[in-house]
Amino acid sequence: MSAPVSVHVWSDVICPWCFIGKRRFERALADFDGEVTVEYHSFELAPDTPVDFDGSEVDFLVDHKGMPRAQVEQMLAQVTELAAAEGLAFDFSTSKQTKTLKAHELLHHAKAKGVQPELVERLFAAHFEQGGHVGRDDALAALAADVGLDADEVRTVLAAGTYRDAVQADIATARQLGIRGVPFYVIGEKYGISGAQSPEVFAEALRRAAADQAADAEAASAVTA
Amino acid sequence: MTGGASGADAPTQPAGTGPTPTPVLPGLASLTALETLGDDDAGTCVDGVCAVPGG
Repeated sequence: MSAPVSVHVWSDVICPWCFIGKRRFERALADFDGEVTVEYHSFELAPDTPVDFDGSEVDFLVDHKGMPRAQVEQMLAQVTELAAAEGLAFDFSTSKQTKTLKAHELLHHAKAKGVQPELVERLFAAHFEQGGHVGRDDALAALAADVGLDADEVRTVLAAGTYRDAVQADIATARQLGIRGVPFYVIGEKYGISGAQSPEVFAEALRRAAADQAADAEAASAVTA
Repeated sequence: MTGGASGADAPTQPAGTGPTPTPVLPGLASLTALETLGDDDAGTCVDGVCAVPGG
């Protein structure tokens, strides 16, 4: 039996294309006949964002990125429509821009506890669909409890910065590899996929990675036979 | 789908000192070693801006 195909994803909790890409990847995964492991890695899309920004997503992009308001509104409307096609109900009128380092620390904690995929989904939904805050310790602890993590333990590890180094290591790896945008997927340690590609692209990558691994395994067993 | 990692990030040190991060993809030096699949113009967020392809 071949080893599972590994999928490493650099993503940020406040990245709309990351949530859309997650859905498209999951559609490919549903049709894939094989085992896959998925691991999310930290990427801070907007490091200069404050923990609490008093304003909407539109306000943030206008104020902090200097983009014209009409352009931002059109962009967000288009992203909302594309998300709806994936079954996602984005609501940028209630989403709260925030610094995501703490969310990434929590995702590392969730990985250690074996529930990272569940927390990724919970944080995305909270930010894009439910107006939830994903930057403050108390809000993150409540979201973590929703996926079965101990809220008190979460508050402890966030206050202590237990996973701060792990988050910075992920960010440094992304920089070293040359990842400038998210989402970015490394599949089977051989294939790179940038952005929220179609399910067909993800399916092709999974298929080819699995075939490569099977061929490698066959070659290895032929050598030892 | 089997999710998550092997627990390599599990804290083994006292609170306040984090676990030593496990190297990610240690055999990969840069993205140029990967075969790139998909369109160049897919939805991506860069520097806080998430433009719509073709928009």
